[in-house]
Amino acid sequence: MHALAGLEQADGTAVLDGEDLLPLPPQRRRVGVVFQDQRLFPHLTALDNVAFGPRAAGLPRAAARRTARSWLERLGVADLADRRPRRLSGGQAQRVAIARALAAEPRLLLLDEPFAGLDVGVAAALRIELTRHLAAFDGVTLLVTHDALDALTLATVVAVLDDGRLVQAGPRRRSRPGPAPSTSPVWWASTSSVRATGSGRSRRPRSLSRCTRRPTPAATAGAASCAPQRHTATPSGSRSPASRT
Amino acid sequence: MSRDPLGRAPLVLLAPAALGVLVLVVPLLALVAATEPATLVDQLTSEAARQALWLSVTTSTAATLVALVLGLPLAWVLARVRLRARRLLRALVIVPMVLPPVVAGIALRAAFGRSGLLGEPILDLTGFAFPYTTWGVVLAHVFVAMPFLVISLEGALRSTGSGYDGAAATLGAGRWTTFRRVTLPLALPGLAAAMVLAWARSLGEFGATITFNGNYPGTTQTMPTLIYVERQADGDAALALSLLMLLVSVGVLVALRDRWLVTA
Repeated sequence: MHALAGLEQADGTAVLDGEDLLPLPPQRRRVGVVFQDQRLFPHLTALDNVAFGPRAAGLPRAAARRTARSWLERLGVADLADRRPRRLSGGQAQRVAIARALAAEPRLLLLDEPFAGLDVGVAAALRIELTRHLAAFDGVTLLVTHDALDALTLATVVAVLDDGRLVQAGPRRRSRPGPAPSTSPVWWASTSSVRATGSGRSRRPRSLSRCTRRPTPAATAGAASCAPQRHTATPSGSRSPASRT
Repeated sequence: MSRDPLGRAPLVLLAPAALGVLVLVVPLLALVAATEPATLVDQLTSEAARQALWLSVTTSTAATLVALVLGLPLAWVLARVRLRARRLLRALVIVPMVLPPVVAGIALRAAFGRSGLLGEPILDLTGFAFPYTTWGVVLAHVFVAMPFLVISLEGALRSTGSGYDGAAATLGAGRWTTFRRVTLPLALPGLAAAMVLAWARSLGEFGATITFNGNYPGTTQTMPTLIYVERQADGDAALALSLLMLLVSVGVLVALRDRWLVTA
């Protein structure tokens, strides 16, 4: 995941909209990340955190703040605009983090275990909301989770990694963990790629695929298969997800 | 003292700790006790002391600012840029810190003296030479104080972590924007502490300054050099001047303690 965002080196290719992301520096990839620990800037208010992307894109301060406020409203946390991250609860911080990532208008949105560490009730509510926000998002979303529920409720395409190997990939309905996974499987779920295909905004399906020397089974247009070599965060003890896919 | 749930602190640690405090504090108390109030007032109002104190404060401040302008980017490079020679670079930066100040003064002479490696071309081009000038004092101060600033600032930059830098990059910010809007604000407390450290080191600087610049009242005679000269002529005056330096140093610490120096 960090390799797709450009925060770690990776071999191979990661094609998005016909363009290989890997040679680009992270700030030019337009890949938004909702980090597992959010990484909201502690010295900025929630509003300025969300305004960071628009400002980096060259918007003047006032306009960036207007954009940020509308994103906070969409995520239902506009009343927290003036709070520093230290004074946000886990669920609130996660909402601000999602608003911040979306406000930068990414082409690809990466969600790293977005519900991990949240109270069960908060996670359930946020999962439902996220479905709505992702439906309105005109890009590919890649979600990594250890919870099958996330993959099955949010994804249109699911890839299952087990101990670093891609064991299944395909449309949501047919995916379930392979027989007797050795560790808890990692679900790479992509939402919205199919929706984007049908949205009419672009004829060409948005695609995110990865090819190493051998073609991967899931590297088909419109599906998100994934992932870079050597690494990315998969806390289940699988050392190198996808390196052998 | 509140009760410690783990039990009393062992004497084998408390005793040396107390002794350590004594070693640090007794000389300062003795300095206060030995100073006669009358000489103190005399010294404080003397022209030489006023000049030297002013020169010390201004050159230390100027040196701290120069060290900041050069040292902040250097600390950033050490903390954030993937360099193969990083260890070597850091070692080079630290050397002036462990160098005897007199040696630093000699080295500065070799580089910036009138016939020095850089000093000669500078003299030929501009007619200006560092030694025996106030600029020379600033240069000597920068040389001895900047390593403290760089090393403590690098620590501050590392402890804030590069995670936020990465987050900023995914939001479209280039490295300069990230530095300005994320890295630097997060490192501000460390930056302030680093500047205080550099300023204090600079204020007390003696060996490199006197070796490189001599001891001319008004241009190169800072407080430590004045104290040194007075010590040879008039012990009481040296005591009074030392007390004055002590007061200035403690004053700075007290003024900054709430804002910057609280680490707990």
